[in-house]
Amino acid sequence: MKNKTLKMLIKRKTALAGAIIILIVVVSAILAPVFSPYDPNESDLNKRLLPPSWDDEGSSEHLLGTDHLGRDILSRIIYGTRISLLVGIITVLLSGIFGTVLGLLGGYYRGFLDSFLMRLTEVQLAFPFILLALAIMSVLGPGLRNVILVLSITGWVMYSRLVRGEVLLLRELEYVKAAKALGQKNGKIIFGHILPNVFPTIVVVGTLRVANMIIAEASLTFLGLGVESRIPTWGSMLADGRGYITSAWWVTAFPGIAIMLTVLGINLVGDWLRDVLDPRLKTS
Amino acid sequence: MTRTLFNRNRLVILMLVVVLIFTGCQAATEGDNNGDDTEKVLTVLQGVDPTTMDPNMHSETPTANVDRQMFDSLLDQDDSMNIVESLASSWEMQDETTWKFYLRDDVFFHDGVQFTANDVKFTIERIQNPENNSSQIGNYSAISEVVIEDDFELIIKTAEPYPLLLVRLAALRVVPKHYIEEVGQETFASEPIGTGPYKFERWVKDEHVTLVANEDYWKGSPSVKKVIFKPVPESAARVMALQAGEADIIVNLPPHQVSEVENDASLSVGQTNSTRFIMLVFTTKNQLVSDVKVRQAINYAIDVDSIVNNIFSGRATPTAQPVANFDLGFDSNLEPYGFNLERAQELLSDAGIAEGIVINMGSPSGRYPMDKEVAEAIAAQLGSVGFDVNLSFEEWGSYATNTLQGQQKHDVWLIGWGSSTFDAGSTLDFWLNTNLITAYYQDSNYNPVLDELLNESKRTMDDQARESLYHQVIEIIHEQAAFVPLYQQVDLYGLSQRISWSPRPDEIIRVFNIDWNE
Repeated sequence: MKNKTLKMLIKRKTALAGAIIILIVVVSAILAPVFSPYDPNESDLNKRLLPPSWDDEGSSEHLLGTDHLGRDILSRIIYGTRISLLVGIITVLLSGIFGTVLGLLGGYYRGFLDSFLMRLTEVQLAFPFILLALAIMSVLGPGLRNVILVLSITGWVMYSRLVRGEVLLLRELEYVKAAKALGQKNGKIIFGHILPNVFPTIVVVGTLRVANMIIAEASLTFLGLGVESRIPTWGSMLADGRGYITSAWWVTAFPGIAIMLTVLGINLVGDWLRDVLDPRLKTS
Repeated sequence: MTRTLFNRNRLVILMLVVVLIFTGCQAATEGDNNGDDTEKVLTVLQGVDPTTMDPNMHSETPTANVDRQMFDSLLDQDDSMNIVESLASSWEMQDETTWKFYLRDDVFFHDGVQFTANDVKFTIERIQNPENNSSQIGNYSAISEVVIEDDFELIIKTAEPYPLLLVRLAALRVVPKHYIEEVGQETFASEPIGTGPYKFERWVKDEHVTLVANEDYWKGSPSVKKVIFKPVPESAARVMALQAGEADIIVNLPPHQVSEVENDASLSVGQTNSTRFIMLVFTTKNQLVSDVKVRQAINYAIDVDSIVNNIFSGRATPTAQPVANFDLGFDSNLEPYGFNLERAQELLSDAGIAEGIVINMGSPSGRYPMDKEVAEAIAAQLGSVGFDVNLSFEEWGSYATNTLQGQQKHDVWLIGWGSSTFDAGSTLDFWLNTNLITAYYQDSNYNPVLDELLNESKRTMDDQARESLYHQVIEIIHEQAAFVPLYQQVDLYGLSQRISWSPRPDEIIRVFNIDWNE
C-alpha cells in the first residue's frame, strides 16, 4: 500500500515538485543554523542594500543581497521558514482538533448543541477572516503566541462545519446503527467508528489550510500586528522592504518568492492528497 | 434562484466598476494642471491630513502647513528665523514685563471686515481659556494681560520677564473675533476665514484641502492661485506621485530615493537643516539605566556616524546635546561621546552588568524619517556589547501621549524634538525640570542644581547670561549621560521643476513665497 502511494506520488510530477519544496522548507527550518551563512540579525550598516550576488554591484558574500540594515537576506529567509512552518502547523493542529471535536459532537448529538455551534460559526463566518484576526490582534497585542492563538480561534469554524456535515451523513449509515444496536457507548462510536471515516477529509483540508495560515501570519506581521520584530519572518521582511521597493527590489522579492513557493508546494501536495484520499474519485 | 443571485452579484460588480472608472476620471481632471497660470494648481503631499482648520487648537506641523496659508501671525519669522513684522508693523519693550505693539491698518479678513487689536486680544484669551482646551495654552500662559489702547495699538503684559514672548507671538495666528462669535467654534474649525494669502475653499477629510488665492492680500496677490494639500502616508507612494507629475511638493523624501528624484530632469530635491533632533531618552527610575556608567556605555556603544552615513546617506548631523544648533544655548564646542566599543564594554563590566541582560527599548515607526531603521540599527549595536535588546514599536498616538504624560516605561526610547522658540530653554525645561512630569532624568544629586539653573534662565532677559546658564545645564547632562543625543535632521523635499521654492528650517511651507517657473 505504502509503496503504491509513493509510486503515485512520483507519477504525479506536480505533486512530486510540491513534496520536494516542502521537504526543502522543512529541512531548512530544522537545520537553519547549519544552512544560513550569517546570523539573521547580524547587521552591518556599511553593507546595507547590497544587490544579489549576480548583480554587477553585488557581493559574493551575500547570495541574495542585504536589506536596509545590512542583514543577509538568504539567512533571514532560511530562519523565516521556522516561523512560517511553526505557525502553519500549530494553528492547523489546534484549530483542527478543536473544530473536529465540536463538529463530531454537534453532528452526532444534534439538538441544542448543534444549533448553537452552527449559529456561532455563521456569526464568525460573516466576518472577513483577516478583519476578525486584525481586530483580535489589536486587542491582544502583537507577539508570536498571540498570532497562533488568533489564527486558531478564527480557523476552527471551517473544520467544525465540514466535519458536522460528514457526521450527519455517516450517523445514518448501517454500520453506525449496528454499533449502536450492539450497545456500544457513544464515545466509542464517535471516535472509533465515525472519526476514522472523516479523517481523510480533515487531512486534506488541514494540509491546504497550512498554506492559508502561512499567508495569514505573513499578512498580520506585514501589517505590524504579528510576530515581534526581532524574530526574522517573511512577513516582516516584506514590510521592511516596502519602502525600498523602487530602489532595492530584492528586499521584498525574495521573501515574496519564498512565501509563494511554499504555499504552492503545500497546495500541490494537498491537491494530490485529495485525489488519493477521496473515495469518490478513487472508484472512477 | 441561484441564477438571479448571480445576476444580482454581477450587477453590483458592474456598478462598482463604473463607479471606479468615474472616480478615476475625476482625479485625472483635477490633476490636469496644464493651461495658463490662473488654472495651474499647486499640489502638496504630506504624510497626514490636518486635524483641524482652527489654528489655535493644535500643535502639529502638517496642520500648521495648511492653516499658515490662511492666517497671519502677529509677528513672523523670516527664512533665517529672525523675528520680523507681520500684522504688527512695529513694537517696543516699555519695561521688562510690558510690550507695546503697533498694528497695520490695511489688513482685512476674507469676508471684508477689518482686522483690529480686538482680534489679537480675542485670540490670546481664546487660547488661554482652559474651557477651550487648546494644546497651545502653555505657550501663552506667561501673558498676564492684553490691554487695547485703540484699534491699532495694544499692550501685552507678562507676569514675569519672559524672553520667549516675541517668538511665541510669531506663532500666534490671529483669528476673527466677529466671525467666531457669529458662527461658533465648530463651524470656524471647518470653514475658517483669516487674513492670510489664501482663502479656504474645501476640505474633504483624508482626501484633500483646497485653498484659493486671496487677491486682496495686504502683501500683494499670490502667484500660485490654487493649492491642494493631500495626505499620502507612504513615502514611496509620495515619490511615485511626484514622478507621475501629480504633485509639486512632497515632504519627508526618504534619503535612499534622493538620487532617484535628482536624476529625473523634471524634478529636484529641496533640502534644509531642520530644527528637529532625534535622541534616546533614559527612564532613569528604571534600575538598569539609573547607573551613570551604563548610560555612558550606551552612549559609547552607538555608532551615530555610521547611522548618519549609511541610513541617511550623510543627510543628518550628529549632535552631542538635546538642543538644536539654531537655538540660543547650543554649545558648539561640545563633542559627542563617539563610538568606542572597548570603552563601552569596560564601563559595563565596571557597573557589574552581565552579558545578556535584557534592556527594553521603544520607538515610533513612521513618525520621523527612517525612525524604524534607526531604532533597529541601534538595537543591533547595543546587542553587540552584550545587551539583549527587547525593541518594541508603538503606534504614534499612544507613544506621544505616554511621552507627554511622563508614562514612558522603556529603559531607553527614541524621540524627536523640534522647538519653534529657537531658545534652548523650552526644550531643556521640558525634559529636565522636575516640576514637570516629563523629567525622565531623575538623580537627587543633580536635579536641584538643574532646576535652579533652569528657573533662573526663565527670569533672565539678557541673552548672553541666559546662554551661559544653558551651557552649564548641557555640561551636566552630558557628563551624566542623561540622554543619547543622536543627530539633527535634514529635511528633504521632492519638488517639481514647475516651481521655485526653498524650504525653511521650521518645516513650514509658505505657499505665498512659491513662484511658477514659467
